[in-house]
Amino acid sequence: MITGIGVLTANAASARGFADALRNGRSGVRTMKRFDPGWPFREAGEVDLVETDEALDRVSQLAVSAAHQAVADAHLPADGEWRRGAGVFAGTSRGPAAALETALRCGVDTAHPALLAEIPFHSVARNVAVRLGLEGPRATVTMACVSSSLAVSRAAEYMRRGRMQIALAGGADALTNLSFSGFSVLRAMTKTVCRPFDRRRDGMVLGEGAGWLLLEEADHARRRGARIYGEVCGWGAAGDAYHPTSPHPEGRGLRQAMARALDHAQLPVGAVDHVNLHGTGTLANDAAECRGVEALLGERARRVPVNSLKPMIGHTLGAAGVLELAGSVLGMYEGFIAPTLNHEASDPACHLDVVKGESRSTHVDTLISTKSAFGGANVAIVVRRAA
Amino acid sequence: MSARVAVTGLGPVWCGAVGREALRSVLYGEAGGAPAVEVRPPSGRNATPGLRQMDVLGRLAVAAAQAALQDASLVFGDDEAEGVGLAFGTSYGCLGSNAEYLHGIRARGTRLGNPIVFQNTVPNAATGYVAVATGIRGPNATFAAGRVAGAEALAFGREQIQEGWAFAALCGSADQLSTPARRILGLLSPESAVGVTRPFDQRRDGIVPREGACFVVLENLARAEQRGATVLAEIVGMGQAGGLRSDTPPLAAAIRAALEDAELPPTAVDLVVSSANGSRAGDRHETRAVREALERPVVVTCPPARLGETLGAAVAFGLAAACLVFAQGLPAADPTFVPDPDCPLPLTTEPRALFPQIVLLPVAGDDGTAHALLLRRYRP
Repeated sequence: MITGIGVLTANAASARGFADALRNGRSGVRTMKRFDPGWPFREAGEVDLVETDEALDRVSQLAVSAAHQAVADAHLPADGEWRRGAGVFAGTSRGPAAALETALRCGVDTAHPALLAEIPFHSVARNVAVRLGLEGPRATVTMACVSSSLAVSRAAEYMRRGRMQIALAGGADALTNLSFSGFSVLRAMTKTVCRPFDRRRDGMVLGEGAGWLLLEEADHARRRGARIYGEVCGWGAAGDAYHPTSPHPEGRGLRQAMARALDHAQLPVGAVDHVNLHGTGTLANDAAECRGVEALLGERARRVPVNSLKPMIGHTLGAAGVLELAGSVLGMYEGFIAPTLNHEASDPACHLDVVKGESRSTHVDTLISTKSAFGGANVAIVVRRAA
Repeated sequence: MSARVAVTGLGPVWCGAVGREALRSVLYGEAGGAPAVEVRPPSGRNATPGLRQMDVLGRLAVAAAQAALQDASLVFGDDEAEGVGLAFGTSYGCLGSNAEYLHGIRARGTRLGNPIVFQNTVPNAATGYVAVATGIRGPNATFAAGRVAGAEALAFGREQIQEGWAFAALCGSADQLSTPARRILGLLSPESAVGVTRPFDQRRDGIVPREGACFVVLENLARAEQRGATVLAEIVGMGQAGGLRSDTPPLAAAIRAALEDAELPPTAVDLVVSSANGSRAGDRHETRAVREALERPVVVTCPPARLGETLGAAVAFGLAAACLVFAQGLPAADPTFVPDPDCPLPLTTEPRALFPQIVLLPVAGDDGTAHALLLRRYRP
């Protein structure tokens, strides 16, 4: 069960704030302030975070802050006994890239040990565990844009197997020179705005953020009278085995991941009320996603509302999975589906019901959130309204 | 009921030596250490499109993955590819490619970054290359989690088979000794001044890092038997535990969790395949944890004494070594071994015709976590 949500995004600094921003279509994408990326296009979903802890890389500061939020949102005591067996399952695409950048700039051989200790990808999960005192199982998933999605699914699987009763599952990624430069030289970035599934789409916009779901074993949550946002009831992963960076044109792996997730949840395709898509706004990704989703949903594809949150918060890379799942779960809890900003006219090849313009008030019982990544990785997670 | 999980193929890659026989000769022969050597699967114009851009990590992973599949004689058609999982673990991942890209944009400007290098700046780039090279389309995962990354990958692959989401899984790890990785590693565990790994030895003075990769093929046991595969071992238990101190990871708790998962008492374990790497504190910690969890001394063999510290690949190499032990008994440790009184583990100094039934593989992480794996000798 999801009993707590903590988020830091370009448009929100709390779960409540995030829900409000999504409902009202409030974008956090604007001209970057923290550094000059050196490209004409300098818009991004930058988090308004004052870095106060010099011992931690920015990504860990984002992660720790959002983790505290999730615990508070779940109404768990910050110093409680529940922490003894609590797990941390973190996903990150770039990890502490800023720390690596700094170390290389001043020379790896002479860099301060504390800085070097921040560089490994698994320092994010370690820092969250140490700062919050969480002594349970831990994992670090590093699968580009599906990282935090898979982290959530790993945590849920551990819980299902009885290995822990409570865990933080999510992830973080920060904006860095490396990301901005890399996606720009790959020509993946938009020159205008990010408009997923739109006929005029021309690329993605980057973002940063951190998100955590406080997952609790059902009986544990009910015994303490926890508020339950929803139940993570199914997950699936599949690979394209097609190309190092491009998705399979027919969305083959995505369709398989979604089918596995529904099978795992023991739900038919017809149970899906809403699909939160990856929707980066690139030509290749959006086209492949449409085909994959249409292949799975069949004739229902035109009637099941879909969306992408990336125009509002940017593509938060490893954090995208948990942030967009959290946004979708908050929407389900409060009775709306957030709009896909900047989407005006669908690509003729895309026959999905893209929620656009304003958020749509609707009752959702079962949603599925999908993400795809470099290397042909695809992950889908099914969440249903708690009974 | 969960499906039983067999090990049917080994794909070790170490200092230019590839394959099960090469590993056997290193562990059982007199081969000593060698400088790290780049392993180069086919690349360049004749390589499969999509694989030309592999970095060192990708090349290591692909070489090991292909070796494992070949060792298992596992062949699957396109219609079966979705039933094969893939899990990759790495200690420090693609830090080498990240450093290369960052050096490039510092020198030439942010608009002149190398896009080919950029696509290797995520740890799952290697997983993607393995997928393209092998055609595997089942559930896949990548973990960049320090020394326990390989254990995470094995756990993922095992679960896919247990739950019936895959009939086989290719699981493994690789690590490249890039400059930043080596520097970080040096912080955690000083390198040996004499360049010799001496786990549990009174004279040990540090680790000897080595590049390497090791993949193993896991299969649904019933299906493996049906196709006539050679079953090397069965994975019967896995456990992990988390802690807040990186110098004292909860290894005893992880071992107990693995025993509970296997529904075995501590007395069932008759061999420990250690991943101790010659660090003074680490070896001592492992000794205490193993004795505490198993409640008695148990014979130990330590592959890192021959292989060095292979980082995230350590547990996969340990699993491969355990499979070799099942086949031909224990290799000898260094005959000049001088036991450390602080590490009273019965490390073998002579070859033994010991044929264990249950083997424990403990691995302590460098971030406060620990994992343990239990293997059982296969009997048809």
